[in-house]
Amino acid sequence: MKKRNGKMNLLYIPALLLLGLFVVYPFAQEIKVSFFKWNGYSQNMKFVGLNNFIDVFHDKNFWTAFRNTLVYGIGSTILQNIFGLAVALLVDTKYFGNKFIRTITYMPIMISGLIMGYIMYYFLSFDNGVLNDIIAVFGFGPKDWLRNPVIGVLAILIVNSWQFAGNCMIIYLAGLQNIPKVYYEAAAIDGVGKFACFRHITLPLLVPSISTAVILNLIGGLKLYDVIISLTNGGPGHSTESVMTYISNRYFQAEKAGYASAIGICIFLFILLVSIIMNSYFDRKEVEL
Amino acid sequence: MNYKNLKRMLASFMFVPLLFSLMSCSGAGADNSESKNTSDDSKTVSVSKEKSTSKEDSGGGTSLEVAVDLGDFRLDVFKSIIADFEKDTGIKVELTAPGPDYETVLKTRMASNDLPDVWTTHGWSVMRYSDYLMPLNDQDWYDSVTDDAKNVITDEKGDIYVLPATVGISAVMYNADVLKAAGIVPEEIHTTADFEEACEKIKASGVTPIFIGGKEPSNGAGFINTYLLPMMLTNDGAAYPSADTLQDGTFDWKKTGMPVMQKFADYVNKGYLNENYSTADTAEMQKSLGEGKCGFVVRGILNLAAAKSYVPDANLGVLPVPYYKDGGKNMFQVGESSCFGVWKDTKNKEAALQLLDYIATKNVIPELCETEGSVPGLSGISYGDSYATEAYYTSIKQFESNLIYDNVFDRQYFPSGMWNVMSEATTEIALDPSKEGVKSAVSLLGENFNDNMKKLIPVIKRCF
Repeated sequence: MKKRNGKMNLLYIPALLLLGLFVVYPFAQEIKVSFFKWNGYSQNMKFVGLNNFIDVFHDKNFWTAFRNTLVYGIGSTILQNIFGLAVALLVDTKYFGNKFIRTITYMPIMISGLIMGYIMYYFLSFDNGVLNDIIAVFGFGPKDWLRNPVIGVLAILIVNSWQFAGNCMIIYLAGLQNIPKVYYEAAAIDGVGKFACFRHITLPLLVPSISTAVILNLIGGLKLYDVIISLTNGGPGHSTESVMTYISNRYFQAEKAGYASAIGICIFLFILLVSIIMNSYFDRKEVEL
Repeated sequence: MNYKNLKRMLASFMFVPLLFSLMSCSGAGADNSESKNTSDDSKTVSVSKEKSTSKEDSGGGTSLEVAVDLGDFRLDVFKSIIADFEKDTGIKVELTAPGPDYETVLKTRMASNDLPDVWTTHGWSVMRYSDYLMPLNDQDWYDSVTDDAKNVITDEKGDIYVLPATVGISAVMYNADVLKAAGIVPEEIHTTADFEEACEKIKASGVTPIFIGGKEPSNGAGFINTYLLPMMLTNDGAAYPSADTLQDGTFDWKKTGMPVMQKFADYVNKGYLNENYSTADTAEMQKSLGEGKCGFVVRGILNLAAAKSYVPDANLGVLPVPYYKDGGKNMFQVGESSCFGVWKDTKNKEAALQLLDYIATKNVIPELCETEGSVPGLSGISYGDSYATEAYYTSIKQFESNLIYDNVFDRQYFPSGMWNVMSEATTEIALDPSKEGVKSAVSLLGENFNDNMKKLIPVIKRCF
């Protein structure tokens, strides 16, 4: 193998500089702040050691937010992948209306999460909500859907999954189009059925795409913020909050910047751990094409 | 490609991003006060037709950064005022209006000690921003500041830090048609008992008595801050007079805080509040008032102006907060509305003060009053064609003989940092109005009150 010119390493410098400026430095600041009691804006900070981290584990609202974050992360990943793969399989062949389905599936991504949340808020709201207008046709009275935390969490999960399923569709479509047709032709000659083809050819060869889609969706779901803010604002109470919205709430509204930073560090470590486990799992599963 | 060419290409490639990095770093380092924290500004509105990249533009004119907590129609009016100012003075203004994130942006800017040249202080000119603002007692307009405004913007040294273009009023707002249909005469509501009787009648007529948009929990905090806490604790005729103990930090939350918050739970249990408390937002609250879907909304009368903008033919009015015990007085809360302060370290002091002068003297305050439903903070200035302000003055005439005015409750009687706690406590009770729910909310209020008081007491001791 030809040895790489060492001077080419200099090309890393711009990226490293920017990464250092916008990721490493703020992250180091966050670690520092997490050991202080600070309101987020005054020039005075009081060192409190590990107290903020201890408080995190005794905060019931944090655990609600953490549980919701897992629901948003894992739930969105499952729903988006199932829906994305189904649509990708549907549009992988040429037929009339194929492009229309692709466009319709991808279109919600073009709307910001915040706007999508507001649209859905007007759909689900108690007064003049579209859903209540629909059930009124069948003689039912209006319901305050989002008052129920379980419905609130489900609504956020479904809206987010529906909005970003198009991303999965694109990833799977690219993966499907990379699978050589010869495998299917050989299987057809051997008389293999469609489901068996999918189970033994498509699915194993899609593992690199599944790996990419799952990790992207999982990280996206774990970092969910904007839809929650506009759809439920984390309420009622803190019942639909994710860790990200809870961090923002603690930092800016409750003026507990040190505590919010401690939560940030904890969730960073959690996402890092999950990403490493997922990566190593899919690395083992990937099939060499 | 030979080695020399590769080196040239590499050098060019690295030079461009490095140059950008250095430019941005040196820009911030050379004059920290002039760097723009654009990442924080979710909505930056450049009023100038010609964009300028620094505060000193190439033509030698000054460019001011102005941050305001205005949104919707209030922002539109302010933008036109700023456009006229630019035309008159040649000073360019970069107007930043981050909307609901305004406080967040300002807190971030304070943390980095990099503030706009001029900003609105939304009630916190003394307690939060005075360390960052320049005193303005030497300005020409100072003598015109009304006593109401002076009461809420003057610190213990007698300094003011803002031009109080307008002051806001917090009170009880009502839909006159709803009250009439329920057989209620608004000006006969003087006491808590009268108010609760009115709620019963409105409920009996099939309308929600009180609407709170609790999706934004600060509306719940606004309700107890305007109505419940002053009526029960600090007004003339309060159920448990506690102004002194609140201010010296000895207030007994278990003994006295409990019945106060129980009152809020009683309102929930009696069905006085809207069914969709926890999911309705502010716009829905304002529309409900305008459309006659509720009898009362309690907060700043800006909400009345907004309700009127949604339903122009709505018949709305204003009432002072009722008193609890016979012989007490009705109360209006007076606080900062559009109040403009100047950063003490601004490089554009003259231009910033010129903007304040312009607002004070060029007859723009009536326009602000019209959109905000607020009252001029300078004497001798009309409030324009403001429906909400007119309703407020009508109410003053009706209750004239028995009125008191006080600062906004939390700014006067609570340590800083309690607003979010009040929001959480009201939401908690709205979701669980049982004895346990009230107990938990009171304990939350008590713990945070004591904690924040501990931080405040050394400051008070230093001041006196």
